[in-house]
Amino acid sequence: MTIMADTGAHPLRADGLHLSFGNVQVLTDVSIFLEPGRITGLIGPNGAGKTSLFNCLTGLYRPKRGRISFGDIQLEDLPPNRRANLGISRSFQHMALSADLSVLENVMVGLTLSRTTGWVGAFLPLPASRTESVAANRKAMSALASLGIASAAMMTPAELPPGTLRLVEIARAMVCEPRALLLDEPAAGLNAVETRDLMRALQRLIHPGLVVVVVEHDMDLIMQLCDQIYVLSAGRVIAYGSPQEVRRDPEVIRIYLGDPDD
Amino acid sequence: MSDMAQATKRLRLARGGLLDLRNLGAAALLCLLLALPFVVGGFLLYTLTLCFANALGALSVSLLVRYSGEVSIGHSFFVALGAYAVAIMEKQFGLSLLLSLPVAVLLGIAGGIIFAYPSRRLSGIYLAVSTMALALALPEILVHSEKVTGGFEGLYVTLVPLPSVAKELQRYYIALAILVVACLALAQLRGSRQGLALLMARAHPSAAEAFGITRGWARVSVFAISAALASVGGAVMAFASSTVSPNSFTLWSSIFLLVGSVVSLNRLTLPAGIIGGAFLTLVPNYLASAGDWVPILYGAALVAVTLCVNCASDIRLLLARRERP
Amino acid sequence: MTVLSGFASDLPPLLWSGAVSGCLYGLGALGLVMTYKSSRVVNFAHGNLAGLAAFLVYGFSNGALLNLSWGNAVLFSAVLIALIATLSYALISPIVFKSDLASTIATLGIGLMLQGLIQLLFGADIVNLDLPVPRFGFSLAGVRVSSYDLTVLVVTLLIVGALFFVIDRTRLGIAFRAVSTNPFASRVCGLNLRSVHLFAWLSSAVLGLVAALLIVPTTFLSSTTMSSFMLQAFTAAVVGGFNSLPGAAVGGVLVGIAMNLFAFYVSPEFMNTFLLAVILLTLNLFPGGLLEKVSGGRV
Repeated sequence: MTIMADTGAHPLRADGLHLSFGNVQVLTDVSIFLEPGRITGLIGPNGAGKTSLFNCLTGLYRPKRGRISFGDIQLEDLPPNRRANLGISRSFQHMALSADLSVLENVMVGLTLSRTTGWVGAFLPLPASRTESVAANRKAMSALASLGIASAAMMTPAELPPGTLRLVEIARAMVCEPRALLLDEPAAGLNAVETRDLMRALQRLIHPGLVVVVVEHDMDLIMQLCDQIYVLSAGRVIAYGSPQEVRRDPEVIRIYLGDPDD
Repeated sequence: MSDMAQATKRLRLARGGLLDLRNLGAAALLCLLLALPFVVGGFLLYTLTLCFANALGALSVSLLVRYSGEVSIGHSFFVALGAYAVAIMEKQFGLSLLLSLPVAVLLGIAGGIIFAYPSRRLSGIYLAVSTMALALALPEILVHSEKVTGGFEGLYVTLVPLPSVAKELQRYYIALAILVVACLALAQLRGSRQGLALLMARAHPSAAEAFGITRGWARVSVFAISAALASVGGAVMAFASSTVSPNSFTLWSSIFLLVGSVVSLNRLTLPAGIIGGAFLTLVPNYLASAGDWVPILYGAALVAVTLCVNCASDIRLLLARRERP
Repeated sequence: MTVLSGFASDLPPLLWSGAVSGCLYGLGALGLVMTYKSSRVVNFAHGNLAGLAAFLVYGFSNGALLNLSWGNAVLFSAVLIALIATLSYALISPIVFKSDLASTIATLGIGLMLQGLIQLLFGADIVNLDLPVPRFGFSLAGVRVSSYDLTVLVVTLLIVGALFFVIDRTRLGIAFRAVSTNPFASRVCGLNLRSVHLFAWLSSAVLGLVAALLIVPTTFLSSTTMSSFMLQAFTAAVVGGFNSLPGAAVGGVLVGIAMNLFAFYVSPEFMNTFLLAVILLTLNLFPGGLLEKVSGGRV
């Protein structure tokens, strides 16, 4: 199981997604086109369906109708692990770190698919497995360092504040050098300094072959960071465009002014 | 970047210190166990050999608890696989432990996979219930396949691998060596790609899927490793006690393995294994006069340790909250 | 032709006696499901408590402990069993909502202690414990119906009827249903969780006592027979779905019949292996039990 060797740039797109739980319609005819080399923002009030859309893209939810593709590959029928195999990586809104693992080890989990040590190497200290483990260690360490949290590497999640854990979550999503990176509220719980570090890290990370999508409530971050923005409300895409265009969109203004809590 | 390098170095050192302390403890215990046969003999040596076998059994349950968060009350099934593998290999082919041990490992892996595959989606209570059925099915299978297993009476294990060394001594040292190797392998697993993946799958199964780790793979893998370990424990048990019979593989012996695992706090180290094994071996031996008290004692230990662990985690949570308002 | 006619004459008695013993597995399963529904704990001590109950009745009526009449012995045992059930719930109450793993282990510990108590009080005795009912029997459509069968049926119907009446009609029953649907919402509504739990644990203990008393006459009572009875009850609960009280009753009857057929047509020696297969098959094909409606939910 290795990540696809091909490193070309592929867009991630969804066409006409419908998702419902029982009688609750969560997504209605959602179509998005995520270009490689650009950072896309996904905003909208609480309950607009942003995380559900993420879950559809990564395979945790199965949409009722609609198509999802990554380059030429259709994703609808692939389970989450196969999509991960294609280089689609994500962070979780509710932090999903293991309390038994150190921060560094949690990040190393992101490298699972790119590592090849077999079961024999899992139990015996073979030279090959040791080399691989050292390399994984180094990669994870530099992912942590790029987010400014290298000093937390050997601690356990229980010892760290939520802001740092958020960054660990992001480090794990980007450590495997994904081709599509989906970040679910990466700046929630971060202070101003951490948010700035995060933004710089993401700007450094972006390259022509990488799709980045960010769900976020921090408007300043979104407006500064993103090249294009989709606005979701009640399960529908209601606006799309550059930050300037979206900021001027009357529908968006109505939603955000009408619901000042968001 | 130099900041990062420094941080790494500092933390490596700090962690290394802690590791050294733990390793020192385990090494001291190992030295003691290595030297013991020169001091004591006879019955105690035999008891300790059984203790090593039980330690492997308790570790196998601990592995399941640690890496998948599930309990099994059917592990005597896998212990029996290993024990009977040794006995049958000797009876049919005249082979001794060192040759039948790999067979026991393979049988354990196969048995683990065969049981875990249909139950790979089950969790918690459902898995516990199916392992209970597994434990209760075992004695009737053993008793009614008399030709192979020797039925009620069971089989004898008399061969030893080294003809010129005293039997007692080789039983002791071979059992100890197998236990130590198993503990080293478990330590290696903890840091391996698979070990990290399994622990992540335990903590957040759906998040783990996003990193390519499927639940089915995690369940089947943990069960296969755990069953192989239990099977090795069974092989050592047969070798140490020189008999196998269905009496030693009941639902209660499965639950006892869980007791051994719980009293060693489900840890996967040599000292923890020895504690678990000793609890299972020494308590009945030294309470032989009060044999009927054993289940009560074990039950009380199970409840007490569980409640204490819960209490301790509550206190830790409280302290953490106070530290970070 | 002979095979077919043999089949026709064998089948009705097999079905009948299977259903009768199935009633008892159902009673056992009902107890398991009640504790599970209300407190989310699978009580692995259930079988041991039921076994202890039967032993106590034996001890109190046969002079081993006391020399009471059968009725008084049952009453006395019921009180003791209720006490023990309360005590076990009190022991595990701190961990009830925290961890499946811990509470499962704790009930196993309690089960071990009860098992030890049985061994301590009664040793490895194998005892017979009959029901005080007149012996008679008659044939009906090729099936022999004994007084024992009728007793089992009547008692089961009465007990299940009473249980469902309590759950359907009384305040406690309404609270029980609320708690089992949504423990947190019901806590907000001011329902007392602990008293609902206690109700479930006590009724489960009583169900266990009744089931044990009724099942012992068909086999014998020893400190080990109870674990196979427990497996039968667990299988019934799995077949009916751990979340459904009617399911447990139906599951019991189905398991009873299936076991009888298997014992007669295949082999009586591999009953537990058969039950293992039934459990694994059911959990794979009908994870929520045979009676569960298929419903979609949020992942």
